Amino acid sequence: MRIVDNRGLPCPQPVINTRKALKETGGPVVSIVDNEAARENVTRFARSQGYEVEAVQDGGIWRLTITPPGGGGQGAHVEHASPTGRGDQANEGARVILVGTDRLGRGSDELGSVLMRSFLYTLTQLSSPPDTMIFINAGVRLTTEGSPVLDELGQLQDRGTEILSCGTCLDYFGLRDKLAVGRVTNMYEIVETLASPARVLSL
Amino acid sequence: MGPETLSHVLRQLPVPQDARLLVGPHTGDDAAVYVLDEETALIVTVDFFTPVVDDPYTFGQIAAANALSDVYAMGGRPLLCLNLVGFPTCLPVEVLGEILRGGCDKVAEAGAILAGGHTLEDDEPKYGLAAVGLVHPEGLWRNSTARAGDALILTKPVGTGVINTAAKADMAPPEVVAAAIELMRTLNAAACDALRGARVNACTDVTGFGLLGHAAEMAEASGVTLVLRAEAIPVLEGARELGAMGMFPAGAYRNRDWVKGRLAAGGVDDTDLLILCDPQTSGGLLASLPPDHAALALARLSERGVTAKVIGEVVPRRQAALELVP
Repeated sequence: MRIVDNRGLPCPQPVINTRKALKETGGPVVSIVDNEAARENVTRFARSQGYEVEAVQDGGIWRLTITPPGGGGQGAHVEHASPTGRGDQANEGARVILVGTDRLGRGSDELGSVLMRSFLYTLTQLSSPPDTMIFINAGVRLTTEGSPVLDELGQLQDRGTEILSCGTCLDYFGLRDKLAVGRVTNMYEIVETLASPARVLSL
Repeated sequence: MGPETLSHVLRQLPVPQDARLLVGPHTGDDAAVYVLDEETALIVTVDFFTPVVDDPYTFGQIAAANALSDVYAMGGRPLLCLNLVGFPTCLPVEVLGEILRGGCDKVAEAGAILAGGHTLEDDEPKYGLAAVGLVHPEGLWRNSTARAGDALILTKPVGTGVINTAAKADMAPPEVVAAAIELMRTLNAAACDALRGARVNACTDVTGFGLLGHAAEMAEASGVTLVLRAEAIPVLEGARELGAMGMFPAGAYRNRDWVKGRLAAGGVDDTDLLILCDPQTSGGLLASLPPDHAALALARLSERGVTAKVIGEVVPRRQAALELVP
């Protein structure tokens, strides 16, 4: 799913960016805005073009999910796939990695750290990196200052992977203002992402 | 800047006390007015902004027409102007020349003199005027003296803000943009001259706070309620459609939020409300006149080629300063 980050942009730029993304992909598109004028303008624009808009507010940020009428987009592709084509169609779904730890596997913590670094490095070498990575619980240690894998996550982000860290978890570990890559998310968005017809890999 | 923020900052300044200052900062009027003698009062105003159109000559015309509008809104005649210019070193100086030529031509059209100015280096171009005008103290039009029973006349359609924003996004049809430009560079001189032939109780010009913002200021300063008929308010062709496509400038939302606490609007949809809150560049005059004088004024406006409309009426103060009916 294309994500358009309009934070800090004055009107009419958020509408211009959203229009471009919808033109190129046909939707769904997620448009992130940080003020009331942009929220209303992007919503007006999308509805005037026949799209459906769903808004989720998180503090001063709105995440506007814009979908073609009748729930089209990626989810619909999977649902409407014919039995024979199921495998191919599923490959088109968003790929999400849920990271609930800063170590990979159980047994040795030391080895687990090395494996996690190796795993993330290898991920950067894939021809198509995941669409979204969600870091929860001790996983947020990987997205904050002092993490040994900030370079790798930065590379993934540059290549289009959305890096999300659970806000509650950041608070729990006192890391809210130490976030070094990606942005803060909430349980609503996490559940929404995981519950969508995406392929989820859980670590 | 939005009306809310501005009034908050201005409240912290001392109120000037001088009997000769007929209009000062506290009524949110268009210009300051100072009495020289029984026959003459001085109107002093200043206005400048960043480009709203690409063509520098046109921008100069629009900025000058916009600044001079404050003099007309007080019922005055422009006398002297000074240029206010901000200009970046990275742009060719010919651009500055064109902006100033546009301003100079507009000032000449107003019958005033461009007597100098001040320029400073700036990140983006800014242009406008400090203008001085004259008015007979008894012929002065304040925004704080509308009376119950008056009719309200608007001398230009609204919608330039949303069209300018859409032009930036390349979403406005060229003929829509052209009509907005024509409107913005039209002086309020003919409208002012036409209205002078009738008894004007109050007047203001419609600029950054939008029609409803300036109407609310007039209502509050006058202690009355202004009742506007949404359907009667002229809107530039294409503006409503562009607004519905999300082309409102942020100022329209700021104005709406400020106006909302002063407004009773039943049955008017949100897009229409935003159009009426759309910040205007070089907008028209909003005049409050007794009904028989309004009829006379309309005839005089029409004679001078000004398309003006009666858009509502003034009633004794009710709960809301502003009422908007479909």
